[in-house]
Amino acid sequence: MSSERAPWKITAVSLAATVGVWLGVMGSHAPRLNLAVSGVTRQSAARESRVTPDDPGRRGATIDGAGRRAAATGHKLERSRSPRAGSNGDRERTTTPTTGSSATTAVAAPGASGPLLSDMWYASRAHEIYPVMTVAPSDQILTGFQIKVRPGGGGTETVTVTDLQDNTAQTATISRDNRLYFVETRLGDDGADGETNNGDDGFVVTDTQGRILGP
Amino acid sequence: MAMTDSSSRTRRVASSVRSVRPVGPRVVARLGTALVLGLFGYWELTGPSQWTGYVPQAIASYASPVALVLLHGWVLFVLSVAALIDLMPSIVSWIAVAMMTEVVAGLLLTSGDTSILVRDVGVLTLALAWALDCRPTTPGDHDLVGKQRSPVASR
Repeated sequence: MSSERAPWKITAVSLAATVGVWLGVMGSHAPRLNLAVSGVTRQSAARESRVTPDDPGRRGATIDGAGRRAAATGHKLERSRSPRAGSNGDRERTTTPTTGSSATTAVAAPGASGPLLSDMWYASRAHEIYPVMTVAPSDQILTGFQIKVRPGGGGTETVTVTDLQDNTAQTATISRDNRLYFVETRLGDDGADGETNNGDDGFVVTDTQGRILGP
Repeated sequence: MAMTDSSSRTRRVASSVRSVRPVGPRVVARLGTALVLGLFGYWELTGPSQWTGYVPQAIASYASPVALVLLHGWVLFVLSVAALIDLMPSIVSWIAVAMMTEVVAGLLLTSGDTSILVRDVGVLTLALAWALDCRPTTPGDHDLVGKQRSPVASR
């Protein structure tokens, strides 16, 4: 038998296949970033109508990303790191999109706090963006998102997040006592042309003790 | 007669030299491809929901994106081990090329022409270099040696 097909090699690959199945079973139960995080909840309406008419090619890239993101700064945080082909960077930087969908939601009421953010597996990759902005708007971490914060009534802030990939927007209201974090687990998909995968992004709202709010 | 023996020996040595190609570049390409496939396979298996953004919408409507990512990750993982231990390289390398082609096509469908796409085209090229270098040339060389020997032996 050729050394290319030595029995030990067949055994090793079989073992790898078994380990792969085990990893997959474990991975399928791993917490999903967009579901585990609290804050801006997902909006099915946004998910269904997020593709702009002039950009059908973007449809698949954000299949799992609608409503997962939100953000804020003290005033207005906007970023448009890398306009895509056919897009206008200035427009993205300064306007709220009109062609994308919009969703509005409110963050869970105080008291519905969950685990500590510091205990979550993504804690080291969570970047505070409200009330203190810990990343520069031009940072690669925020690639693909535009974030605005406006004062709301009754001690709240209105957060508007625009996904520059498909030009959809969502709005959420958070308490001024809360903290808002953006989670970016991998930077490999944040290229010069923008974000290619929103599956590794998320938003988390915590209370002052750092406990996660919302669903 | 001595001259015939000498030329025969020279031909055999030349044929042997032809059949032995430098292994270094092939090993580098193989291990490099294995590393990339293995790491991405592991990541996809352990955190599938983080990769669902790469599943084209047209496909995701027929199957669970997470399940698709898990399947993809499993194939990459097994493929990487096969590449690492050099199991049937002439087959495995072309499967690796096919997988990378699928990745590039998926990126084109989901994100268009991006810098990420260019990066993955580079990995595809690496896998292709490995596959092209894995073509079984030894049997052909042996045949050539045999054909060359015959006329010498008949003299």
